[in-house]
Amino acid sequence: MEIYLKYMVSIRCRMIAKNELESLAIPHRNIEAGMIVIPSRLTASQDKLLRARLFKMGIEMLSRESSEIIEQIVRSVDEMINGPSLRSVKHEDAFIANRSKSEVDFWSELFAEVKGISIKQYILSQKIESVKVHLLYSDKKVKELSSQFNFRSVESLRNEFKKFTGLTPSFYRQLKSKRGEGIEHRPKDESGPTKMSAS
Amino acid sequence: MVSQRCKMLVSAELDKLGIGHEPVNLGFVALIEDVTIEQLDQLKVNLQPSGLELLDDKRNILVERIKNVIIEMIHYSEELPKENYSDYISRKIGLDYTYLSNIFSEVKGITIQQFIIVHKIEKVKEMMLYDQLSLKEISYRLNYSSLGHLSNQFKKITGLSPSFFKKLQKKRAHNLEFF
Repeated sequence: MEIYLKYMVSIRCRMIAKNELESLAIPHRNIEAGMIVIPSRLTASQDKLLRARLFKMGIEMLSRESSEIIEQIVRSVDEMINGPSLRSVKHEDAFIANRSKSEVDFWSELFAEVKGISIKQYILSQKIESVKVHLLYSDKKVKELSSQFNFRSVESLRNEFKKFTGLTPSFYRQLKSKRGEGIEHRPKDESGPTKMSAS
Repeated sequence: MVSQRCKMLVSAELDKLGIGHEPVNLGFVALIEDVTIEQLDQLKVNLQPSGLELLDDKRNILVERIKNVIIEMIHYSEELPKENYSDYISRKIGLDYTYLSNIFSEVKGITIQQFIIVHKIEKVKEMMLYDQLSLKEISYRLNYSSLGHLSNQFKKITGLSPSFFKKLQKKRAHNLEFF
C-alpha cells in the first residue's frame, strides 16, 4: 500500500522515515518525496505507532480521506494525459477546477504539501515524461507531439522540455538512433507507448 | 531508460529470468543476489528489442559516482564549493567535464546542471521546513546570486512560490509545538 506524507521533501526526511520504519520492523519497497510504498497493509496498531513517531519528527501521515484525494488527482492526470482527447482539452486542471472554490483550495494545498510541487507543475512533468517516451519509441515529429500533448506550439514544448530536463527534444531523438537496429525490431505496441506509465 | 514504462519493462524481464531485484530506478536497478554471466547475457538479449541497453559497469558506475558527488555536495556538506560545479565535479572524479556531462545526460535523461538545480531546490525546501531558515539565509548558504534568483528557480521547478512554503513552514512548526 501507499502511505502519503506531508512535509517529506528531501533526503534527510527520507532517512527519518526509513529509520522509523525499520525501528518498527515494517518492511518497505520504496521511499520517495511524500510517499512510502510498503508491500503489505499497515495493521491498526502499526498505523498508530508510525503516525505518532513520524509526527514527532514533523512528518504528517495523511488520513484515509486525504490519501484518496491524492490518488484521485494522480489518476485523473494520468487518464487525461494518456487518454485520446488531450489535444482538445481547454483547461488541463478542469478535473479539479470544476469543484467548489474551497475544495479547489484544499485539494491544491494538500497536493503541494505532499508532492512539494503544484498540480499544474505535476501535469506538466507527466506530459514531459510521455513526450520522452514518444521521442524514444515512436517516429512522431516534435510538431505532432506538441499538438498531441496539448502544448501551445512546438516552441512551447521545446521550452518546457528544456526546463525539466535541461536537454532539447532533438537530443532525445538522437538517443533513439544511437540505440540502432534493436528498436526497429521492437514489436508494435498495441496499447500505445504511454498507457503503462502509471505504476 | 527514462520512464515508468521502462521501469516496468525491466522489472518484468528480471522477473522472467528469476533475478531477484530491488525496485527498478530510472537508469539502474540493484540486484539482491549475484547473477551468472549467462543470466546477464540473456538479460542483454531480452532488453535489446525494447531499445534498452544494459550498460557496461564502467559507464554505469561513472554516473553513480557523479550522482554521489553531487548529492554529497548539496545534502551532506557544510557549505557548497566556491569553484564552478563543473570544475568541482571534474576534479572529484578526475575526468573531463564534457565527457562526464554527455554520459550523464544519455544515461539519466537529464543534464548534470538540471540534476543539481533539482537537488538544490529539494535542499531549499528542507532548510525552510526543517531548519526554519529564512529564504535570505538559504539563498546565501546555497550560493544563489540573489534572493530573486532563488525565488525564480524555486517557482520554475515546483510551480509554487516560496511564500507558499513559508506557510507550510508555519503549519509544520505548529504541529511540532505539541511536543
